[in-house]
Amino acid sequence: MATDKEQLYQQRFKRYTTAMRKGKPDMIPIRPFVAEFTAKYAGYTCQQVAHDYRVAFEAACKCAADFDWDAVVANMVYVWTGLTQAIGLKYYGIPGLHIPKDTGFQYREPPEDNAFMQADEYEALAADPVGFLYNVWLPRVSTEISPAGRPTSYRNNLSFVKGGMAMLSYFTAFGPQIQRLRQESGTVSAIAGIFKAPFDIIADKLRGYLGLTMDLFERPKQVLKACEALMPHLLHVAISGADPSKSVPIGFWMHRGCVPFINREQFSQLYWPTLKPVILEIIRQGWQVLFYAEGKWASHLDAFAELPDAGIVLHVDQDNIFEVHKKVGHKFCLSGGIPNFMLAYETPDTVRDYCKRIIREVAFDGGYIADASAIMQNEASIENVRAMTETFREYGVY
Amino acid sequence: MQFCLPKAEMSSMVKLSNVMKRETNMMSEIKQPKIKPGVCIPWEEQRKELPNITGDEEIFKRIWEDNEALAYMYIWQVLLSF
Repeated sequence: MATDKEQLYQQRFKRYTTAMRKGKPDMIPIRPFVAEFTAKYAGYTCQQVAHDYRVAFEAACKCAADFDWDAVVANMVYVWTGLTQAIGLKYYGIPGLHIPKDTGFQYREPPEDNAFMQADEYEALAADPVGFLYNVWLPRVSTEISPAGRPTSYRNNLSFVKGGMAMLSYFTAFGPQIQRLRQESGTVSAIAGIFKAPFDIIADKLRGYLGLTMDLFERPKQVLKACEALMPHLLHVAISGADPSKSVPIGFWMHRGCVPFINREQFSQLYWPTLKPVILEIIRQGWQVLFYAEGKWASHLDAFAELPDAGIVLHVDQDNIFEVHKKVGHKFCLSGGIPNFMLAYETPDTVRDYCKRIIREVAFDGGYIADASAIMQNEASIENVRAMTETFREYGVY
Repeated sequence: MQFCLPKAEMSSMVKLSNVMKRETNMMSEIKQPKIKPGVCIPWEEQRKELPNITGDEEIFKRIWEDNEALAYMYIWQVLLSF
């Protein structure tokens, strides 16, 4: 039997999914990717939401209940640092431990001369990605795990048991959290599943960005081969965690493939050829992909336009959303485009004016989802986020 | 940190880059690896280490692969999500 919250959920679900497929719903959906903002609003520190996912869930629910938002991520402070500590992962700066308790968790790029994968290990990665990750990579990124062939230890064994059990506990908790959002506030869970480009995996977690940029000149064929070897696995992981009903998109977190990190040639010779086939396969199987395009991607819009209509939702970060709309707005639903600095430092009136401009010039015919340019951390002003929400509700009715 | 390379070295890199361009100006295929995605140790490998199975082998295979999927998911989620 439908309750009020359930009816609200159904309205919002229809609004959100209609816009993602380039349709014109009853009003512009609002789907803010609020991370440490939830802590600020709910009265917690960044340490609390990063290190205790139950607190993060609580903060997400409080925001969803108090703001009139259609969809949110069940926990946008996605990295549970309690889990990363159980495994012993070296590359996180944990609030309250390595960084101040009111700073969002940080990812620490490995030093160029001590990357988690060496330049001469591309062949080994390509030959057996899973074996490489378990035997070579994991012992290097963890303070606890012994390298293959070396004596094991108490802490080594505990890392796997604690890491495995903690991951299971965390992922299992998402089901009830999504239900809670639906029942308590009628809010839709915005995405399901995770995807990253093969190139980004090598840049982020294996060679580091600096190491990879040199490899692009010194051993491009090996980089390509390794990217190709990652493709079927990344496809499998993306689909394994995707929404079974295929209603909400798979989140694709885009990092190092844009200007100025790599040039156009590197994009067209390596990044895109090892990404596009995976995206096409995901689309062929019936899912949309949310291109969470952090940074500036305007140089590559022609490439994205090769994808099927409405196959992706393109999130706009630092590009000019008005220009992006002119270029690909006829093909894909767009989201974002409201600058984070504006939400942090400008006045509510400025935010309102900018949101009205987006409504007039981007969202007028559907196919737009309201959100900030990038994930909202605790620098976003509550007053400005409220102004953004109210403006879209007041002026965003079709 | 050194970002500038000697001229000769840069020139040889540019040549490599050109070789790359000629050979890869096309989309890559999603090639199925020897061990299918979703498992770390294939059932066929494990099967060799078991004595004669008198019961239903399919049950052993299915449950083996279900548990393999957890180990597979663990390492890829550490890589992608954490």
